Amino acid sequence: MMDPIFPPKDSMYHRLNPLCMMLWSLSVVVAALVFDNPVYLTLLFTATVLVAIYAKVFRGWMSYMKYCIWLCMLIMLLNPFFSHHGTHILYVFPFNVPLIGRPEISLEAIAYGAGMSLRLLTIMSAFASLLYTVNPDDLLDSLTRFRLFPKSTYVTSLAFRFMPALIRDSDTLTEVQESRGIRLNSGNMIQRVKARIPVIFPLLSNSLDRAVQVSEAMESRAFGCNSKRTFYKNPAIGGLEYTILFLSVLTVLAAACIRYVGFGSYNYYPSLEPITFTFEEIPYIIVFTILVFSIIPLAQINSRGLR
Amino acid sequence: MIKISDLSFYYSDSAEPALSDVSLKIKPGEFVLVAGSSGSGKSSLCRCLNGLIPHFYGGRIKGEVVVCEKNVFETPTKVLAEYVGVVFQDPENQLLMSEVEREIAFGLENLCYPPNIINKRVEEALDSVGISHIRHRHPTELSGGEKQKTAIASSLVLNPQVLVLDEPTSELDPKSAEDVINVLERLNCDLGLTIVLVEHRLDRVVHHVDRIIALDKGRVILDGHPKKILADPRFKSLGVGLPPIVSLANTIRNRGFRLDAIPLTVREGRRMFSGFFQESRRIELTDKIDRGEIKVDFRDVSYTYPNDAVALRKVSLGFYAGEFVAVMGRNASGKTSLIKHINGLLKPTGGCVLVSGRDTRKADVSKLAEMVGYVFQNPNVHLFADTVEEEVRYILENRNVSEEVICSKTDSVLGLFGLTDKKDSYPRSLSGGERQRVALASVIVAEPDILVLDEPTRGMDYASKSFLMDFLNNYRRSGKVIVLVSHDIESVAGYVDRVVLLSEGKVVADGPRRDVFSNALLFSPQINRLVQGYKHYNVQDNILTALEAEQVIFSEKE
Repeated sequence: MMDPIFPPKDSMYHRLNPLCMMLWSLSVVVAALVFDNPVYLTLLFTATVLVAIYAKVFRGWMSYMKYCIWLCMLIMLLNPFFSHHGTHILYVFPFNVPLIGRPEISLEAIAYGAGMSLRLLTIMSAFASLLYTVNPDDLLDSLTRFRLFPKSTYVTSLAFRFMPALIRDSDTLTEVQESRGIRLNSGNMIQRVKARIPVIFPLLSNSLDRAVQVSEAMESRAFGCNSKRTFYKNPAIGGLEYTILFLSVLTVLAAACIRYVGFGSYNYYPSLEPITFTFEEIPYIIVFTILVFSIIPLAQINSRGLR
Repeated sequence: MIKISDLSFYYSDSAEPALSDVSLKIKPGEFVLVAGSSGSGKSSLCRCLNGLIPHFYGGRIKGEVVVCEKNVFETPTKVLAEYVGVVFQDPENQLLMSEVEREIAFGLENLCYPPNIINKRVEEALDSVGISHIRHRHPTELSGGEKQKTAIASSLVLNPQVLVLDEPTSELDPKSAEDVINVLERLNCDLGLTIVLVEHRLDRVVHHVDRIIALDKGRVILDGHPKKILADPRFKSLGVGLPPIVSLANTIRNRGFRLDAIPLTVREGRRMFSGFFQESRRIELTDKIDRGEIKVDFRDVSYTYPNDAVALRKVSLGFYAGEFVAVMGRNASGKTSLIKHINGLLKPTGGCVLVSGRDTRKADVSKLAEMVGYVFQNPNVHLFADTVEEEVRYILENRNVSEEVICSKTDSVLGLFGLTDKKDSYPRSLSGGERQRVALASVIVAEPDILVLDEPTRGMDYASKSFLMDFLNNYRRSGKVIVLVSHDIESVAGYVDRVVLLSEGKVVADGPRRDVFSNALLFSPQINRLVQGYKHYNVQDNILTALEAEQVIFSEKE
């Protein structure tokens, strides 16, 4: 039996109205795009990690994030080869590399790669926290209630629903080829791609078969019978949840305001700026921190029924 | 309730009719079994009842289908959903949501029922099939039987007057299948629901149904009470497997003896055959096993999956040359994990497996594949090439075999499996039985010394099953080892030498089939359960098949 991608859990975040997690995650993503300063990005990332921990989904969150960590390491590794704006040169390659010339690895380029990786990690972490704390059916319901992309949301929801089946199919097809004595991971790139054809074609065919069967099942259960639909579950939304929604909107506004007044930026080139805060900036940071982290105590109060 | 008049249907890409001049009526509350071999038109008939034909599947159609006073051709499927519930064969692909109770509510939400009605109906549907304890589970956490019960509840919640089920148990293990059939019987008896059921395994259902409709090449060949249909020689000629006690009853009648009726259950059989067994005498029923050297040696093998699920616990057993072994046990007992160790797909986490003396922990799967052929349950996973011939020769092309040898072996295997005419066909366009043969041929062409098959008979019709078991029985005579995972006691009882029974990753029984299958409470073929009731007549209790029962009954008389 395969683990579902979104195993049902019971935590204060799972009990929140799905809109709260949706809007909070969106506010973190927007703020991560607005700020360059690694301190602000670290704050945002820490908030998403704490949510994953308190929501008891850290293991699943980590399994998702480990791929992002590899991607970030790749970014940090490659960026110095293509960015030559830094002034602190750590190493100069003794030979020319086609297309990029003679690479000079600078401290600033490595730091810029790290900063961008932190931004990427924060965005991915916000999505991971959302996906692991909100049932995809709830997401679907929420978007359908507001008549937002109803067909696209169904397709997305079904894609998530059948992801475990697709992974299982892929594993079985790989085993079939291994059982035939085919080495899928040996040889040059062309040989590897050729060896994968017997995995990819049946995977596509099976997915098409599945799509037909799913459509039959939907049709047989009156899908699309009416332009509107009703909802079995009507997630409650109380005062505290409205507060979380309000504070999420305020987080985005605060981020825009902080950038507007000239804080939250950071220059990596030509030399790394020292990370210091002026006396005027500290209240902004405190307010922003309170806004981003407010979901944690509020969700706890909400789960205790203190609406 | 259902009236079908002169119905004919051709799929858009076919010149042969899927249904031809079908006319029948089904009364309210009837429990009807639709039987026939693969490709006889059973599924097409089901699709006509809720309008998937012609609204979803295009093609040429004539005649009329009226269900609950609605003309199906003029009423969209989504409207018919409130009158006809449909449950499909594959339990996985009909569950759309990520929680059982939401799955059940899905149809009502689409029909815009208010939440208070949805709540009430969902509770009723959960209780009616007995799955309220799994209401919050994700579909991937359900067993096959639970998935099918969820699908049934999802149809029931719309309060339909007819429930149509297209081979709902073909993907299930015997226990889950029995559970699903029992649910159907209860719905039919308690709610008076009209049920139309397609099923290959007649022994599971004949005693529950009121009527059998037999199809062949899209036509209704027989239609009537089960006892009448099962006694009709034309029914067997359709390639439908009869339950063993029905076969025995027909044989007795064919020999000129009188039987009041055809028995449908072991209880009825015991009463009817009592006189015959009373006068029988004991005959020698032992199986001669000529086994050669040990080919696969499991030594204290344990296996734990990365998610800490323990699959095998200190399993020690051997498979020998020329042996035909069935590995059996309930779901999640470790059967598939065991056989995946034979070709190295799984490496033991404790102990070791030796295949022809080679330790699988140190051998690459591609090397073991030269000795071990592995046939997966779903033939579709084997099929990727554009033609049957390419599919079959693929394994040899990857083994540095000369073109001449590849051609000769491929032709020979295509002939052996009756696929020569189909060698240029696209494998996935073939029938289920043909696809299974292509899958088997694509493995057999390499002539493996050890052949491992994972539930190949699941969902197969009788003719395909007989072909497969006969082939395997012949293949092992050339000194090959056959290891077959199966739930199908009736199929393996007549063929295998030895049965290994697993439970919770441990071997709980391992011996000649007659020792394992005899005198068991449930884990025995129908005929053995029948003769267990004649102990007081001193009838031997190691009879496994209808043929052996016939020999025992008539040995004295002959």
